[in-house]
Amino acid sequence: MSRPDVWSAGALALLGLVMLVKAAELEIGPPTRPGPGFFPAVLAAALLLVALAIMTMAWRAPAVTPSAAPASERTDPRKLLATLGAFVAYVTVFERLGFLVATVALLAFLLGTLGGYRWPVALGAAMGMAIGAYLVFDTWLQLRLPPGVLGRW
Amino acid sequence: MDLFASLFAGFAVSLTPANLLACFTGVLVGTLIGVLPGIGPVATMSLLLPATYAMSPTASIIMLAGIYYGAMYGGSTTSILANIPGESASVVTCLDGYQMARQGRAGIALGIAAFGSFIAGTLSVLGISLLAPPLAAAALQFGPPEIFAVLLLGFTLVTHLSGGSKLKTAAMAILGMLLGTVGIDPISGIARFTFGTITLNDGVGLIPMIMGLFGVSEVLLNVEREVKQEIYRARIGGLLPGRADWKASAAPIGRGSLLGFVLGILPGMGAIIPTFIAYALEKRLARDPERFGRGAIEGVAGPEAANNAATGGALIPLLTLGVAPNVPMAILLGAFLIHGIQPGPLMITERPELFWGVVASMYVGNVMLLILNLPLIGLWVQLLRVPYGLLFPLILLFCTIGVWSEHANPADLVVLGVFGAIGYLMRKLAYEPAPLVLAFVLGRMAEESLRQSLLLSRGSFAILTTRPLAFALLALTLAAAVLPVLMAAARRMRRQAPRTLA
Repeated sequence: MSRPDVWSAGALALLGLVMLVKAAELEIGPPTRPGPGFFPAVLAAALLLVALAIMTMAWRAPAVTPSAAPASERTDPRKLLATLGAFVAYVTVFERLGFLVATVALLAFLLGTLGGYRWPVALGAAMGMAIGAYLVFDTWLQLRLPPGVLGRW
Repeated sequence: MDLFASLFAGFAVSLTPANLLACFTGVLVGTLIGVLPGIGPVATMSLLLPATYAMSPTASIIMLAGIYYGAMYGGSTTSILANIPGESASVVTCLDGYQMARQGRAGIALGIAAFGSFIAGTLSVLGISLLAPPLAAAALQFGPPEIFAVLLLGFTLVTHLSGGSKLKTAAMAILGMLLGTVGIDPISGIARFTFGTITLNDGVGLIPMIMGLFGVSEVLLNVEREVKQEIYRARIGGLLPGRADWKASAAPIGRGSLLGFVLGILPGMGAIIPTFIAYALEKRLARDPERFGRGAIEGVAGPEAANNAATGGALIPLLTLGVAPNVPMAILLGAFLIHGIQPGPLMITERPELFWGVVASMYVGNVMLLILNLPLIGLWVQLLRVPYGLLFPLILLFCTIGVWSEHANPADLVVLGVFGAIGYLMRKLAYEPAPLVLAFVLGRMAEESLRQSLLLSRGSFAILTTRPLAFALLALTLAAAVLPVLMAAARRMRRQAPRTLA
């Protein structure tokens, strides 16, 4: 049994089921005159079936090794969570604090913790990158990044 | 001959200093925004549209067109070096281009992308010169049933896109199509799966989805690992493709050019779908399809040729019918109208200097792009030496800016993060993102075209078989689906035959 496949296919099957129920709330209509719910319902049912097929195959598979990335590779989930957490925080405050403040904070954090740079270097590099990106994208290419607490200048 | 006289006159127009400068500015800006992920040709063309008001109509069209095909050149660079599509038509280039870079063949991948783009770009301009009027007539035959048949053919080819489990590919394709149904239903106007949010009324954004699945997830995978910078250090070596690379790429470039050009003419195709089909086609034709996804040069050459050829193809309906087949062409149409010119069948005869000037400028622009890009390859490859600890925050930054620049909508950034996490999980669990993205793009159009067809025929599926072009395309789809199965069966029988004799 390939455990990761059973779980991932299970999640897909559940998603298919939920979408099927949601699609049924829309008008389905006959195949010759499909309503807004027709395609979603067919697709959700198909997803459910395919996911169940993957699940069955994974269940029967004799191999113990997961089909995903080789387990021999050393991974550090803390780094992943730190990056993801920092990015979520960045996205949350991006508009309110503004591009420059939020970006300097994100870059300095990532460079200082995961990048392995000393904090003064990390902060300096972060400011350089953020200001550089602001000048290129906002000032020159006129993309209008959020000014936030610093205001427009 | 008349054609040569017209083309010659066109070159005379395009080589005037003002038009030459417009062409150079266009392709330079195009390459730059192609390299920068997130900011695409559509945003740039609309930003620079006001700047062209003061120019002559010819110069402004030359410059705006240059941005579009220049972006197709530059888009491959980021795909190959960082596994983020520089613009959305370069998604497929990530698959093998990035793997080539990891094997120390970044220069060769960039080189073949540049040469392939040049050849395809030039061939497609040749195609415009020769075929614009007759092809425009054929494009008029394309209604919803034909579009649906083409999309069905696309879907059939997608199943060959992935190297992994066919069931998982199918699951991802279905999921992609299902995601495509999110948003306001184009036929009835009813909101589907929007969960009451305004952002989802327009559907799941393609740009945040692609940036999340390819860019953010790549960063998440890499930070978790002990980063192996030495892979890049190992051997950056040859910058230009050698004889063996050329031999492998020549046919894919030819096929990609033809495919991209023909598909590019069709309304709604854009430059993305031809690249997917070109990739699937190359994989299908390859003697050893296992190499695809592991750095096969054909997987870079074919799609890169296709997206450049598609830009040429897309100009045909615009210049000959006044119909914009995709968004960048709609902006170009806007530029024509601002200058008081209605592109259409009469433009070739009434404003020959404009039509042939623009066409000739594209030959010139393609040469400029090649000259501009070849020396840059060495510079881009140097970027790979930047330590990953410094590079990965920048990748996240570019993804954010790219998504923000589209609508300035904070909710799109949430979509970006969500797809980053989904992409990470998918790669961990051996599900591939490419079939999902393609099915997402195709699925939305497929549903719409089928439902339009059924409205046209008042509910009869016969509309798909009674129109000759649609029928031919459906027959081709059936062949593409059935032939591989039959061939595999025949091979098995041949292998078993000697055993029964013995």
